[in-house]
This record gives sequence, structure tokens and C-alpha cells, in this order.
Amino acid sequence: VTPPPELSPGAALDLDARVVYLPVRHHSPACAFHVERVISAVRPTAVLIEGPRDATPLLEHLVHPDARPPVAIYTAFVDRRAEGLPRRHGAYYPLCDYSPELAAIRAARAVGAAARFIDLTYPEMVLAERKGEGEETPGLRNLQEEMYLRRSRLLAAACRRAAARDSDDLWDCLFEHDFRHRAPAEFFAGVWAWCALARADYTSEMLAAEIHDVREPAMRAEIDEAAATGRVVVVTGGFHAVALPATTARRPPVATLARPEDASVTLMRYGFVQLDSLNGYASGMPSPEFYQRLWEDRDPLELMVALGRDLREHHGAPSAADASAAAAHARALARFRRHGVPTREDFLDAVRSVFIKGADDVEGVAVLAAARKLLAGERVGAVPPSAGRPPLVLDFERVAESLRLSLEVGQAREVPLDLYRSALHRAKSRFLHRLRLLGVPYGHWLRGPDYVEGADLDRVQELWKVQWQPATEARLVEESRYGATVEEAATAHLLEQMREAERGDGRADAAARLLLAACRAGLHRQAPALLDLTVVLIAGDPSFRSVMRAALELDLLRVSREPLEAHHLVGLEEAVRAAWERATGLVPGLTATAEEEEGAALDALCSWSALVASLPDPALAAQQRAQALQALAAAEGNPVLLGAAAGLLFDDGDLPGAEIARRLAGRLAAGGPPGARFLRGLLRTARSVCWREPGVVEAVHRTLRELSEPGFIESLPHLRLAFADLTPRECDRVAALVGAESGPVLRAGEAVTEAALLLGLRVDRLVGEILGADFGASDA
Amino acid sequence: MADPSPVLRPPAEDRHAAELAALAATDSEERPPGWNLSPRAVRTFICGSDGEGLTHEWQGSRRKTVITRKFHGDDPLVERAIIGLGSNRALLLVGEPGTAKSLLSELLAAAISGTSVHVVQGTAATTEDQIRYSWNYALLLAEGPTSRALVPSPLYLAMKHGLVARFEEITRCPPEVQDTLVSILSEKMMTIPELEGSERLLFGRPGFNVLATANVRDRGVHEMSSALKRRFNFETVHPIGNLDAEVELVRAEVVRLLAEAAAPAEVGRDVVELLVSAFQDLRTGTTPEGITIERPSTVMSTAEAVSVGMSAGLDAWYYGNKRLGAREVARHLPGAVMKESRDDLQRLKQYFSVVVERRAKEVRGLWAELARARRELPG
Repeated sequence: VTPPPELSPGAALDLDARVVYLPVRHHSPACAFHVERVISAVRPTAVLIEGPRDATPLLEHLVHPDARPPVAIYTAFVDRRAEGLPRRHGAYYPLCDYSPELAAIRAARAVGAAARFIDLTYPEMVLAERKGEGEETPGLRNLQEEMYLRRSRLLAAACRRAAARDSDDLWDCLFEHDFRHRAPAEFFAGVWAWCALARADYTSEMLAAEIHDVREPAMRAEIDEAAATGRVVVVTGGFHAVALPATTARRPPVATLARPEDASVTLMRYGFVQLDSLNGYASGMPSPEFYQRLWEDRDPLELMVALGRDLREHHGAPSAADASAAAAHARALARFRRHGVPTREDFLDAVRSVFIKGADDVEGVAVLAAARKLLAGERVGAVPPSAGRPPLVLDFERVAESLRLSLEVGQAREVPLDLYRSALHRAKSRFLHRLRLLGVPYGHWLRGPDYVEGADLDRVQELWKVQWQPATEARLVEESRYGATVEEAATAHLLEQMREAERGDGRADAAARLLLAACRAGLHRQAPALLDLTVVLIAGDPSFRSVMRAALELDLLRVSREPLEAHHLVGLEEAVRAAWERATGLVPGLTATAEEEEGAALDALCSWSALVASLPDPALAAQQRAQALQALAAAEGNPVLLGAAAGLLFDDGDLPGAEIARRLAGRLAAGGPPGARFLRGLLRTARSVCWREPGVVEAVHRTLRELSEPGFIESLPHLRLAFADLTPRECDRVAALVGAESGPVLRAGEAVTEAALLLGLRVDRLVGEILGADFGASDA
Repeated sequence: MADPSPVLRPPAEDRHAAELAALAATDSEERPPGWNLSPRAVRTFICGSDGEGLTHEWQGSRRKTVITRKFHGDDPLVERAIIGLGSNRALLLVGEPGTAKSLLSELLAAAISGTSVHVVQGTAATTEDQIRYSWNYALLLAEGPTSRALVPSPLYLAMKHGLVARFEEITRCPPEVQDTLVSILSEKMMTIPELEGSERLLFGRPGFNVLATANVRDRGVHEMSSALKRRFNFETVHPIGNLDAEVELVRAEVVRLLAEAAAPAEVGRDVVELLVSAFQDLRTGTTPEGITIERPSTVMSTAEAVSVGMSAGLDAWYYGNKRLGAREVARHLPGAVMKESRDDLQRLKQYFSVVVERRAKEVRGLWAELARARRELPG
């Protein structure tokens, strides 16, 4: 392949030139190997590396003897340009042993060259982005994204020609399998061609959209400055390297920060699990453990044995013979494909051929998942203590220690917390709830009163499982863009969620839930604002159910003041009252409830009615309730809710039983499900009407007798639901009434076998048929 | 070959004799013992030479032969299969019906052994005799058990001559019959207890291996014993996922078949694309627009698409305007879909109302024609 002339390497790759440009792919052992060789041979005065400029001070920690990759540079930026809440951005720059960037840093140190990062700082990048309407910068991203690999049509065509599965496969076949036997110049010429090809179908709009038109001139300015004083080796992603020699230097606009702490750069430990691009952190190459072994010049097929053992343990197959057959298969495939050592796909192909006994999309799924996990590895890095840690991590540790919560790696501990009696326990609970709001994996809530869901409120203790894991710290570092303390970060999260609730579909219950969550996490300072928001949303929320849920949440907060420490929240009772009144206004509209929602609406109606007792001035509320119910019961619409309204009125003595019986009889007489559904609503709210008002059973009985067979079948599910609410004793009572009406009834306990009953029914039916045959004709 | 072949469907080694000869003449790489070609040449035979011509002697004159692509789909799969056949394990191609498993098996055998005709067809009635050997009873009675009276199975012959034996639809055989293969595959040896002396044992020669195929979605298939599974490498053959590749393949096949049937109706690429799109939608149960439809119980394979194209083409040639159109496709689609159950017709109609009608409005063109041809559907 020959790259287009404007992107040809020319003198850029000439190892004797003053400035040597080395194009690399992130996390490529082959590139790392040759970067090191070139730097050792050239012995430049400066090594310039693509990476945020403000991370240069971290380089000394990266080469510290206590540093153990994988690690990541984490940089955060709080953007306060827009109105309202600030936008918080964070980005990673992962480094492992075989990262060309780290190899360059180490080699520079060995030859006494100054190493430096030359790319824009993260705030500069965010500020340089020109976003169209509705486009938003993601909150968290990877600074080593290699978008071109997915975008380039030329690379896609090259993959098809070479019968490679994807650009990773093609890269491996071209560069990774035999890098130890290539000369650096020849190797980098190949990488150059690859990158030039990938860049060839980029338009200037695409380049601008990814702000390459700002980054590259800025990097070039740094290069020119360094080249003035000596020889320079430049290590950048190949996509930039091919363009840098022809780029004109231009310094980027200075990023002004509203507050100095709005931008931060930290070194953190990282893990292969996160590094594996298959886990959705799209950058670099997948399967880090595989490439780590390639880098260490170990036989990657040792992993095949490990995989065989892993599969045998968990799935009972394959045999040890299979593992050696798979290794032989991988070697044979590599030889056939002319690979120096088996590539990742050779490895996976051997797994597919030998370990999968069946179809790859059925039996093979578990096998391939195990293989991918093994190839990804579990290595976790370490950062030297001198590198410092973000304030959020320090605050977390300080608070955890003061609360006597464990920070040791190891067994998870169960921590019971007595919310009512101990202030220390309440403090622990709040701290753990704050971490939950942040998504930090540390305390796992096992059980206890759940105030937000309104479940298990009779419990007095919370039970947590507490365990520090490497991911705890990783997540804390990520969250450090939200603030310097756990409380601050949790508050910032809460505010963002509050903004979402405000902007969203205006559901009052979402805001009320947030209020409870805030109190549970001890973020009481935000409570008044959340209460105000809830009241505002309640006034405009058209959904009866959502308003009622909000009312119940608020009422729950009112009664759970003690464990939630909401004593000082003013206006809570008024808010409950306001929510209830808003719901009352929505009651007549329940006639339009859809059939699939009627169950939930029925529940909400019952809790609405029950809430009256706990409202201030219950007498007035009862009056309002009666009016709303009268309006609902008199309207036409969903029969279940009409029945429920009638039942509630009956229960309060606002509707006489005879009237209920009359309405029920009328609806049942119309035939079909609506009558049965009315009965269901009625029995849900007033079961006693069955035995207190004889007309009810009578009406049901008459209808059942008169219903045609298909009509009965149609009504049956509703009838079943209607009577499902009765307790066994009540069933008995109703059965006795029915029996009195229709003749002798079998009582529970009387000795009649099932067979006898069935026989009786059969005789009854046969007699009916014979009578029908005899008299049917004359009837017609 | 100058004169037309008198057989209906000559085996792969005859159909592609010139290509095999070209490969054999130019193949400079090492060949595994007993193989006619090197693994790389076998791959080229199946996946094609990308238009490059190989110069070689053929029937007395020098010529250039381009190796055509014969198997469309997953090239790494072909490579895995070739390497697998070179190992001491047998190979089993599994997949849905109509994914060209048998074609791939035939091509592999033809390239590796020069012959693809040593085939055992697995059925519910396959017996051990058909896998091992049986007897010519007249001779057996006259001479007793001699090697002359023995009637070898295709597998027997493949062992004896170091060839690839094919076993089609192996899972249709009862498991106890399948298990006959266990000792043959692990010992590479067959005992013939009726014979005496050195004839009692038949040893497999280098180049011998078993290449089996099995359907995963068919009714009436048996499980395979784990002992036998261990002796096989499994390779899954998937339907072609790429629209363009499948359209090209179906079109080429339909044109070829129509020409053979002396009914060379005009087959436009757009009509084939219509047909293949419909097949891919029904096969996967989701359309490129993201609509979910119910999949018919029939397997909507590429081979089935070819057969619909072929019958629709014949229809156009004899009863239409000699040009394959959407109307003919609509007329022959139900026959392909409605094989297993009557519900499949409902599913096809659902596809018409949900997807075809929509595309008729949005894409227009042939989709609109197809929507109009809906009345051709039965019922």
C-alpha cells in the first residue's frame, strides 16, 4: 500500500532527522517495543508524547519504582459557562506496560531525555469543542479513543480484502505477530501507511468535529519549541503523526477557569477489566492480558491451558487432551496464516474449533465468554504514595475511619445499624447512602426500612454489607469531578437528578422520592428546595397515581421524621394536604382509566381515601372526599372505578345499600364483563356490602342464572377477581347466603368425594340434554 | 471439458477439474501426508484467487485459470475447517439447513482428496453395515468370508486409500449407529473379525479423515454421545449476513439454474435484492428499520431463496413477460414459507402488512409492486 502523496512519511520517519515522528496505536506491544528501540538509538534531548500537557508533572510518579501499571491519568473539568448547574467532565488516559506512551517515558528516562506531554489540557479540549444543537459532551470519556478505526471506509475495505474480521484483527496480522523480527524503520513505515489510509477518507469537517484542527497545530507548536534546542522524538497516535509534519503551529486559546479547583489531573490505579475495550471503554486494543503476555515475550498459548482448566471446573468439559489439541490448532492456524506467533483471533479460532461442542451461538456462548474474560485478565495496578490522591478519596477515607467503617481489602462485613437509637449508626447509614447516590461500590444495602420505596417500614434496623474493593477507589476518583467531599459530591448528584426531575415529564412522585432519598442520605440542606419542587410539580401533575404516590411519600416522611431527621422541614403537613387536594380534584377524571391501569388506580384510590384520617381537619377532608366520590360514582366510564367509588360511599354511609344493589343489578342485567367489573370495584372497597345488603347477592345470583354460556365465560375472569378479595370466612358467609337462595349447599367438612360430585354433575348435564332434545323442537 | 457432461450434477472434482489442475500445478507449498493440495491451495480453491489467473498446462495447452469463489461467507471458518481436517480429529459442520454445509464439505473433500464421492448419507434407517462393510451374500455362501465377498462402505474405502470420507446428516442416525465411528476415529483402524490374517485389520492411510454435517434446527435429529463429540471439532456455518453478498450469490445461482433449464428469464438485481431482503427479514425476525416480526417456523435459507428465485423465474418465462418481477416473487414466496405449519402463512401476511406496506410508501419502487401483488397470496 502506498499512502497518498500529501500524507507520505517523507523525512518524518528518517531516524537521522532532527524531529522523528513515530506513529503509534495505543496499547500496542509492537509499537511500544519499537518506540523504545528508536529512542534508545536516537538519544534525543526531548521526547514529546500525545497526552494532556498539564499531566507532565505526573511523569516522575509513572517511572517511580512503586508504580505498577495499569494506571490511568484521570483529568476532570467543571464547566461553568452555561446557566444553572455546572457540567462536570472527566476523562481517562490509561497506561499499561505495553503502552507506547509509557515505553517512551521509560526510554526517555533511560537516555536522559526530557519527556513531556504536548496535547491540549482537558479543559482546553472541552472548551474547543463546537457542539451543535442538542449535542452534549459525554460526562466521562477516554482520551485515547481511536475513532478512525471505526470510521474509516478504506480500512473497512482493507479488512474485507484481507479476510480480516475487523480492524483489530487486521492490525494484529500486519503488525503484532512478528514485531520482534522487524527493523524499526520498516515497522513504522507500515504503521504510517496504515494511518495515512485511515485518514485519507476524513473530510475537513470530520477533522474539525473531532477538534483535530485545534489539537494538531497546538502539538506542532510544542514540537517546534522543543526542536529549537535539540533533537526530538514525537510519539503520537498514528492518526496525528501522519499529519503533524505538514501542520502549521498555532497555540490554542487559553482556557480560563472560573475556579482553580475546576480542573484537576490525578494518577490513579487502573485495571485490565476496565482497559478491555470489549467492556465498552472503546479505546486501545481488547484483551489486555493477551497482549501483556505478548509484550513479556511469553507464549500466549499458556492461556489455553488455563482456559481448559477454567472450563473444566465450571462446565465439566473439555479434557486436558482438548487443551493441548486447541494449542496445536492455534499454532497450525498461525502457521497457515503466516503469523510469527498466534494472534488473538488465532487463539479464539482454536477455542471455537476445539472447545465448542455444538453451535457457536448456543453451546459456544459460555465458552467464548470465558475465553474473553481470561484474555482480558484481572491485573490491577498501583500508584506510588508520592503521586497524591484526589481530595474526594481522602475525604472518603477520613469519614470512613471516623465512623469506624472498614477500609481493608478482604472479607465483606455485615454491619447492622440501629436507626432509631444510635446517632452514630444514623451517621453511618447516611454516609453509606451518600456513597450509593454516587454509585461507589462500598456498602451493599441488604435490608431495612426502605423509606423511598415505602417497603419494610416496620423494621428498625438497617443491615449493610461493607467491603472495600479496588473499584471503590476507581469510582471515587471518577466522581471527584463532582466535588472534594462525599457530601459535596452527593449533593451535586442530587441536584443533577433534581434538575432532571424538573425537566422530565413533570411527575411529582419522582421529586418526592428524591426528597426522601436526600433525607435518608442526610442531605437535609437540599430538603426545602426539593419540597418546594415537589409542591410545584404536584400542582401541575395530571396523573392521579403520580400525585397520590407523592402524597404518600410526603406522608411517610412526616411519620418517619425521627429516623430520617426531618424535624426541621417546615411545610410538610401542608404539602401532604396540598397533594391530597390535588388528587381529590383528579378523582372524577378516573372514569377515563385504561383497563390495564385500573389495578394501580384502584390501589391509589384506596390509599387516597385512607389518607383522610391523617390529614389536618379530617372532617372537612371527609366532606371533600364524599363530593369527589359522588361525582365519580355518578359519571360513566371505567366500571371498576365506578364500583369502587360506590363502595367507598357505602362504607362512609353516604350511599344506601339498596341503592348499591339497584345500580349493581342494572349493570349486571346489561350482560357481559362491565357488570362483573363494577362488582370487582365494589367488592374491593366494600366487601361487607355482600352480607349487609341482601340485594347484592340476589342480583349476582340472578345474573349468573340468566347468563348465556359464552357470556359467562367472558365475565368469569372479572368475577373471579371480584371475589378474590374476600377472606375465607367471608366466602363462607356469602356461600351461606347463596345457599339460602338456591337450595341446599355443601358445607365444608361434609363428606362428599370429588368423584361423587363429578358424577352428579354429569348426571345433571345428561338429564338436561335429554330434556333439551325432547322439548327443544317444540320450544323453537 | 469439451463435450457436455451426460450427468445431471457432476461431483465438485469434475465441475472444477481445470481449477484443481491449475492449483495442483502451481502449488509450491508443503502438503500434509495424503493430501492432494497444500492447505493454502485448498483455501484458494474454496475462497477464490481474487481474480488472479494461474498459468498451467491443461489438456495439452498452456492456459490461465482463475479460481472462482465457491463458498460465500466466513473465510476464517474455511481456514479453521482446513486446519481441523489436517489434525487427528474429525470435523463436524453444524448449522441451519441451507447454509451450504454440504457444499463446503464436498469442496473440501474434492480439494484435499481429489474425490468427494465417498459419502455416507445419514438417515433414521442407517445401519452399522453402511458405515463399516457388508457382504455379497452369494459370494459369502460360495467362498465363505473372504475379502472378495466383502462389500466395503464409502468410509472403508476412504480409510483404505487415505481419503476424506463425508458423512451427511450424521445426527439423523440413531446414536448407537453413530457410535460405530468412535473406535474408527480414535484408533484409525477397523477390525473385520470374519477375515483372517493381515486382512483382519484395516488401517487408515494418511489423508483419511471424516467430514460430517449436521442440522441444528431440523426435526427428528438425535443427540450425539459425548465420546463421539470429543472426537470431532465443531464448526458452525451461519447464514450469510451481508445483504450484498447474498444478493450476488442468489442472483448468480438463479441465472445459472434458469440457463440450465433453458428458460433464461431476465433477472434484475433489484428483484433479487427484494427477495433476499424479505428472506433476511423473515430469517432474523427484525428488519433494518427495527421492526420486530414473528419468524416463520421454516428455515429461510439462502438455498431456499435461490429456489424461490428459480421457480419465480420459470413462472416469468413461461407465463409472464420473460422478466422476473415482484408479482412472481409474491406468488412463489408462500411456498417457501409455508412448509411446517399453516400459521406461517399468517406470519407472511403479517410481514406484508407491517413491513411491505410501509416500504411501499417509503421506498416505493419494487416494494410498492410487491405490496400490490399481495392478492397473489393464498387464502
